[in-house]
Amino acid sequence: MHRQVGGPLLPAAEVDAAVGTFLRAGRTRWDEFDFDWSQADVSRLTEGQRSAVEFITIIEDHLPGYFALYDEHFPLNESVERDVFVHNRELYHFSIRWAQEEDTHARVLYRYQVESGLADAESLRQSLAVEGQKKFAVDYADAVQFFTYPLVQEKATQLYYQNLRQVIDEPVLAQILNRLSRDEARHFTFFADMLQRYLIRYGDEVVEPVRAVIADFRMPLADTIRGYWRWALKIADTARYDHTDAYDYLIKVLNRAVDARSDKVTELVSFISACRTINA
Amino acid sequence: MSDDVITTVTEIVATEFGLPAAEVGADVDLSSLEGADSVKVLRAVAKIERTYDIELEDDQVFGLKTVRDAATLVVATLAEKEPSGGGR
Repeated sequence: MHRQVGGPLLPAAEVDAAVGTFLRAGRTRWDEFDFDWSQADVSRLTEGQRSAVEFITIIEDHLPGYFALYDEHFPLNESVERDVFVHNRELYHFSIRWAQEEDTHARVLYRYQVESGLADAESLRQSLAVEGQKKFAVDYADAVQFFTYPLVQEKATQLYYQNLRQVIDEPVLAQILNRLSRDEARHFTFFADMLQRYLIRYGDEVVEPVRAVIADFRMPLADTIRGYWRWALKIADTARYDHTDAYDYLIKVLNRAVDARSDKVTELVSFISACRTINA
Repeated sequence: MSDDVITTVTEIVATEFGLPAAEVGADVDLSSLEGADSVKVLRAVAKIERTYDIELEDDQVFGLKTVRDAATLVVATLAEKEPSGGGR
């Protein structure tokens, strides 16, 4: 069911400005045909690195589930008021490009597995479908939460790709991780821009929804992949992987957005800092 | 509950947290221990699983607060695995 999410919305002109910045930064695009696949060689990866590639392929391959969130919660049909439609149409300019880029990530990682010899095509298609078919559910009440959650998730992913890149001694995968990391950094910047605009415009009104996102934060598919945390620990043995590393960047966004912290914002920053160390 | 399980779990947690075992009481909130973070807790759980050759349910793992919680879960899981056995 498609139902417009609640909470305040940014004026369409502000969404347009954020989308414009995002699109301008991504004018130099890339795809799977930019790589010399003949050089892809799984024998140059450790067992832990192979496991990491399998893990991130599943995460990226779930793009249809992630994209559906925006389609569902920011509908483009006659169910919403005209002003809401106008807002959602501006947001769609972002989400469709973002989805295209994330889909490229999924396709490149899939192809890497096949070309490097890590997996055969048909088996990989079937195995990806096991998690891919599961619903990705993030049930937020406020629109701002749909920008806060991916802000953390995109930054955490970017940081992991950077860390994994540091330990990879295989040129094709190294190039892929560089590209992925740069894309995730741009995606983070868009979500950070959106959240900052929400904070500037609505201030304390959006603090509690942001807090709620962090209080319940789980990385994508953490609730659907059985034993996710074991796998996460395993890939963390290969390269540092801790989504709370992204919380520092969220705090920076909060600090940039407010000239003088209100009590609510101060409490929120303290809360996020605490989650940085003890949240499960 | 077997004191052995609590002792073993305490030692594992202490090792993962880099603390003397004496500082890790059975009923101390794990998140309140010095240097605690989610990764250390999960690494400790993974080591507990390997030690006892068991696999805990995800929702049980994320509900653990204390060493005693973990030890209780280990005993219960072992009992399910080997109904006639007495654990480790």
